[in-house]
Amino acid sequence: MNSERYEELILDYLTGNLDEVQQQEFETLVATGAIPAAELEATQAAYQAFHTLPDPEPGPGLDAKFNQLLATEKQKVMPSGPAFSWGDLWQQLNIFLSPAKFAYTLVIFFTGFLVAWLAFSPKQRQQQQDPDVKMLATELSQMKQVLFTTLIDQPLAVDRLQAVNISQEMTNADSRVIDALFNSLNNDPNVNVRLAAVEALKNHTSKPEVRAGLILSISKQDSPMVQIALADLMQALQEKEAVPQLKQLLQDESTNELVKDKIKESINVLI
Amino acid sequence: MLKVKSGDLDKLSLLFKRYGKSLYGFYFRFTRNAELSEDLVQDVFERVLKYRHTFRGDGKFVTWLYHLARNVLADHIKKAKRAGITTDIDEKQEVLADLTVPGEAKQKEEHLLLMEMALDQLSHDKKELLLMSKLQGVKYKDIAEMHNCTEANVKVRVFRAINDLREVFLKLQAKGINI
Repeated sequence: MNSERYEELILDYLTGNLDEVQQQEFETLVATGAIPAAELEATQAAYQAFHTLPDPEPGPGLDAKFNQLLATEKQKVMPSGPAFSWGDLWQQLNIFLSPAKFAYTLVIFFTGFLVAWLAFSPKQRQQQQDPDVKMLATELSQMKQVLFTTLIDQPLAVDRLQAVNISQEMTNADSRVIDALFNSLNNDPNVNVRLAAVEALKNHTSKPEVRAGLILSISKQDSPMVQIALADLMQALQEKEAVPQLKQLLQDESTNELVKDKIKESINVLI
Repeated sequence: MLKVKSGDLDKLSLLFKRYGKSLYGFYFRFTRNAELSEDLVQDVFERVLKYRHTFRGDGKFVTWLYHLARNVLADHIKKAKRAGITTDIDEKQEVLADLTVPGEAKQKEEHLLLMEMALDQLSHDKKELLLMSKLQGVKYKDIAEMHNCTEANVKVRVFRAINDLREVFLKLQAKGINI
């Protein structure tokens, strides 16, 4: 038992972990020869030699493999489309059970109707078709609008996400849609919906009020991914007006370090 | 790590930067194979991602990480044994000779290589213990937790392992191993 106690002390001495009392005890033991000085030195030499062994240097493969791993995992969790990979089946089930399915079905039906009309329409195609097609196309677009407004308020994030994605297919940038997108961007509890909203709003950045809205949104976001997406967008748009907001975010202590790095980069590009 | 758990996956990069190289060194000293060591490190982080939901945050991340790391190593060894892969010391010695060591006086180089060889000759448990204690951010208290024993126990074992290492080193030196 005694020797174990000594061994413990010696190790603590070697790692520099002796408190005052232990230090005294230790020095006494060495002085009296209870801990032989020669052995102590030998152990110390071995300990130091071991701890100063240089660490094997990894090649570039180490980082590369990790980055690959991270990218794959992020894809699983944050897909670019409306489908979540591991929850594919689950999501299909959701859509099946979703109350908005009916509205969606109508859109499909209408599209089918349009195709059938084109295929089987009467002989005087040239004159009659154009206005008819136009009418159907308008109705289709209106249906999409209805679908959008229905889905955007659904309790399931999956539906709201679909709404945002549908808005990207709409050719006319209705101010109501844009307002709804901003509402999603600033208020939706689900980060994926907010990110999709950024994507959708990219299509409307020719409008100054959209750019202004996006700039204002920067300070309202606390999700790092959305912050980065917005910083990226500002950078791509060369939107200098965004710099004050970005600076504010930079100064905020609670902002994530990686986001701060991104913001610094964006500010540098913009200035 | 809690941020990673709640979905901020990019945070994992920070953890990787902090501990990845250290883990690589750990595995390299067991396998003496760069590619394999890289794969093992990746395995560890794969498990970190896979089991992130189980990280309770009441203990240190480092302890949890190295716990996973030990399991990855143990699993690898089991697999290697089953596949009949030899862990022949002689083979490893050949690889050792190719180790790039920061070029200083030849004597120091030899010294280091001998140390590495001595390390290789220790029993798996002793080697693992020593290498764990060398890992970044690990305290004896953490090792005790991982091994389910007392901190005092760990210290005694490390002490004895260091001395065993020294003995093997001296034997090798006496044999006059030519590098």
